[in-house]
Amino acid sequence: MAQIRLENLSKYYGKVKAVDEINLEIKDNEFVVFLGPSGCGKTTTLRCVAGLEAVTGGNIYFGDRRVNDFEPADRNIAMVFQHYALYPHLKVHRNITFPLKAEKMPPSERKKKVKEVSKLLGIENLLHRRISDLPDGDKQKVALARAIVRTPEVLLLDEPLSALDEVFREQMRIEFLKIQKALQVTTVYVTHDQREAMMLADKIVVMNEGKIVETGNPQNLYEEPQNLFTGYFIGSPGMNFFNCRIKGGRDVVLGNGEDISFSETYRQKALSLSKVDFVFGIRPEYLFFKEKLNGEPNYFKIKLVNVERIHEINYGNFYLGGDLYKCFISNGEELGGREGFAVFNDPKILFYDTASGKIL
Amino acid sequence: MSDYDYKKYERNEKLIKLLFLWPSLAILLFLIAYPFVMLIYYSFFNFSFLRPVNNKFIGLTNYLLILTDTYTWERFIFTFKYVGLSVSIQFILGILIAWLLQRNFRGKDAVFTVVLMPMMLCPIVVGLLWRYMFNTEWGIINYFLHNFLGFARIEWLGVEQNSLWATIIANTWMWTPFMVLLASAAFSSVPKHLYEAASVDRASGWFKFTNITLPLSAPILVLALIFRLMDEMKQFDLIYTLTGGGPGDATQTVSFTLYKTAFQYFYTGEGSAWAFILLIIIIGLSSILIRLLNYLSER
Repeated sequence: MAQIRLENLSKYYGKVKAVDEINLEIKDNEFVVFLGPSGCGKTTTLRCVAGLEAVTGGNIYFGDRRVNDFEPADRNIAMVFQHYALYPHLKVHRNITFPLKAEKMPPSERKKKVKEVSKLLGIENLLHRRISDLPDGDKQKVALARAIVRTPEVLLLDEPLSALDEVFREQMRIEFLKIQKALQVTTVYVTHDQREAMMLADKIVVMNEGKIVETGNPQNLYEEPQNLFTGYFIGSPGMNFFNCRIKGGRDVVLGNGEDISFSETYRQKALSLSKVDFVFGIRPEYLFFKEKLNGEPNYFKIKLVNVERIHEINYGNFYLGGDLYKCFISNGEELGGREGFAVFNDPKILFYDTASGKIL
Repeated sequence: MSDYDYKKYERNEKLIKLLFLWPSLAILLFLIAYPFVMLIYYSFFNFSFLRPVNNKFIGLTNYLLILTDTYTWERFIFTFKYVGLSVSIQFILGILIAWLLQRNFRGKDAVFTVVLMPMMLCPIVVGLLWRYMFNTEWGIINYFLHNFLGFARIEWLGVEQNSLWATIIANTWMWTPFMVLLASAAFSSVPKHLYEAASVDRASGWFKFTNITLPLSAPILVLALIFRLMDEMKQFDLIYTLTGGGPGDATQTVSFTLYKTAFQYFYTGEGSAWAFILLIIIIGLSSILIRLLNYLSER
């Protein structure tokens, strides 16, 4: 019963367009993650959905109900805030029962609910502690408990993990998934951490400068981003993008004028775009460093600056036309300063429009 | 820096600290410690400063005289009634007004300034002002009550029971703004995101007020209460001009009695004893409240 539909939703602060005419459908029980850099409008969108901000334009629907003018209390939502927003003067169990007390549930039922929820989150032993005595991870668990104790139709989470350190984050991500599956609740989650988004989301909504750049499931957004911004923002490291040009109507060269060797199929595909300039995108994992060529058709010349280890994988850094790029290095040898070739052979070769950044 | 230099430097440092310290210390000693010691000293003597010689040490006689007199107890009862009622009304009214002023409306700043105005007036002036307004024949209060609401003219300052309420009304008018000011400060120090969380949690306005606003601003509210209580216990100026302690002695507070004893009858010794008793009561009352304050802020 809790599909959410945003229709031309806008929120301006004076002249600043925090959210600029976005359209989105969120299905019942879907786990949607809003992903983007800070200031992209993702939190503002969430606050509009929560009713904490009045919208400047457009509509918000919960199911068939237009909820624009509904108070947060009338939207049957629950929210977890970035900095917990727990009531500091109340003990843990009274924080959790706060929403139940607000709707005048009898004490015996309240007790039962608290028991259920604290068991689900493994915080039974914290119930009589003070908020100020809890470590950050537990605080966020309590905040989550308070949010779900009322079984809301929509669960909203505003960067719930950004104030926690890495150990707690790991735990909490698993907690979120567990809870969401157990409760079957439509969930909107805001984060700037693409790893979090990749792990949690059924659907990721990538936002930038108040607009939705792209939506899709994590796998698709990673493998085949429809947009330069998505490719760059999702994945760590992000995608490599090389400016290319068609020379003399038949040869492909790199932006800085150096040669790039394409196999015949790739070359034909590039020519069929009928563009002079385009962008060639490839993930570092599919771009291999080789010191000597062994008959590979797709390559260009590079000089490694150094080797960097990210998530147990070796990446070689190199410059091209002033920009830094990364390629995959299969063995951990010290290759800094070496010259060689960046070789690629991805069947899904991705070309983007230089001006719009959209996939071609 | 060599060891020798360092020691010299340390010595100089100490000297400079002392030099900075002694002027204010001397002033404090002269203006507070000395009078206080002398007050306790005089309270054991049959002493009047009109007659500097020939004082007799009389031990606790001054205290016994005061505490065994039924008149004293009447003064205390009036004072507690007056202070208790004034402070309670100020407290509740102040919180209510501050709560109303939390909302956003046009001209809020102007309203706030107007609300705070009475507090900035001189108590003597406020006393005189209300004295005129309470006048039975031509005061504006009776004018409205009589001409518009059809009441008989009330003898505000001439009848004992009425004069209690007259003093409380004037006092409340003057000092409620103080509560408004502190309650507003307390309310606006409650983090906004707690209200957001509460509105998502479906709390009504009243529920938010009683479950978030009040408990979180309790320390400042209690502090304001302490200020008001201490101030009211020794209040003198407003009553001096408003009723002059009358009718009869009906509106004489303890501090007014103290004033009369010490500066009209010039029983300096007895007056000192009054002052010491009043001091102990104020310290006692405020230490109870300070305990409450500590309890509240430790939660």
